[in-house]
Amino acid sequence: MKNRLEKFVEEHRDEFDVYEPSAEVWRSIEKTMRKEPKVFKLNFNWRIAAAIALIIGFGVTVFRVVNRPPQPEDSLARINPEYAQTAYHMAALIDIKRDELKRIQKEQPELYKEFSGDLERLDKNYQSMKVQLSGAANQEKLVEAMIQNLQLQIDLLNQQLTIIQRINSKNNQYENKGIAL
Amino acid sequence: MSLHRKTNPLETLVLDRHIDLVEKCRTGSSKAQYELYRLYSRSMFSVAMRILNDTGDAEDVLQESFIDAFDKLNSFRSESTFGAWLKRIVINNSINYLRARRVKFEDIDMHPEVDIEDETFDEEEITLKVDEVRRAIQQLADGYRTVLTLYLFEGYDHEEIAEILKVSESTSRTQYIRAKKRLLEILKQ
Repeated sequence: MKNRLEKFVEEHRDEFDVYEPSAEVWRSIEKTMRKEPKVFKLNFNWRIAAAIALIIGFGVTVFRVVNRPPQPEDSLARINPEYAQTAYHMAALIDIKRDELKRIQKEQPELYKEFSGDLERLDKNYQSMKVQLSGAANQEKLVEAMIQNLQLQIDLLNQQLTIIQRINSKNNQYENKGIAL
Repeated sequence: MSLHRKTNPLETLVLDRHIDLVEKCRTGSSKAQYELYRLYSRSMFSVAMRILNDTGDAEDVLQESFIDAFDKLNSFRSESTFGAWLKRIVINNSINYLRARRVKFEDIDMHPEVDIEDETFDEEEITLKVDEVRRAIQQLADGYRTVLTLYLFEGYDHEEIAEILKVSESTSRTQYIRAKKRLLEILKQ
């Protein structure tokens, strides 16, 4: 008989599956499955719905941006985009320096009050120019003045920070001397 | 009439019962995943063991295959049973491991000296025992063992084996006959 082996295997097929994997295999599978973020798969209808929602959302956003009342920053950008960018960088720099200045608030409250008072005056001036900007007759001039104001704020902050540094290094010197004595 | 079938009716019946488990797995239920693993790990591990002949590799393949299956569960369309689908993943991964071991499945049509008729073997005088057959399979060379196990145990026909191993159908046939002859020789010893 030619097919004896085949018949034998077919009859005893299940008895051949005697190999048992170690418990470690499932642990690894479980670990991997838990680690993998579950990717949410939507069926076709939901995908269409999601796409429509996205399109509507985008449309609404575009509509709002287009119909928005003019904003001061926008007008600055429209009048002179280069200046607008300069102003943006300057404002960022001012923020950083102001944060530095804030560190002395606790140690030297008097000095801080004085310094920030000077800054506030400049900033108030800047804010009022910003408000005037959209209706101003001589916009270019006003923008230049705004940039100048920001530059002044930076200069002032630099000076203030230098003063603070000097005070600190003097204090350190005294302390060092005190130790030496 | 071929002894081999693509799906055993009994198998289909049993596996169809697991369809709701598969559905639960699709929602990410780790309990259902474990249930499926528990149901199929032994048979799938045995498939990998027969092809790879190495516990470590077979465990790696089993792990990868279940992860693949859980990840790709959305592409399982119930055209076949879950078991048949999973088995195909296990087999493909096992073959990849074999290839990484530099086992080459090559066409042997170039060797006309092979006369298949001469290679038939008298099976009558050999008493067959499950354990002995199993052990004899382990002694076969990788190429022989793969073709033999796919045909004899996993129920693939030569056309399918040719596709899986990327060889010609006649190569699969010839390899099977040789593998079987070698197996019977081992059993006779």
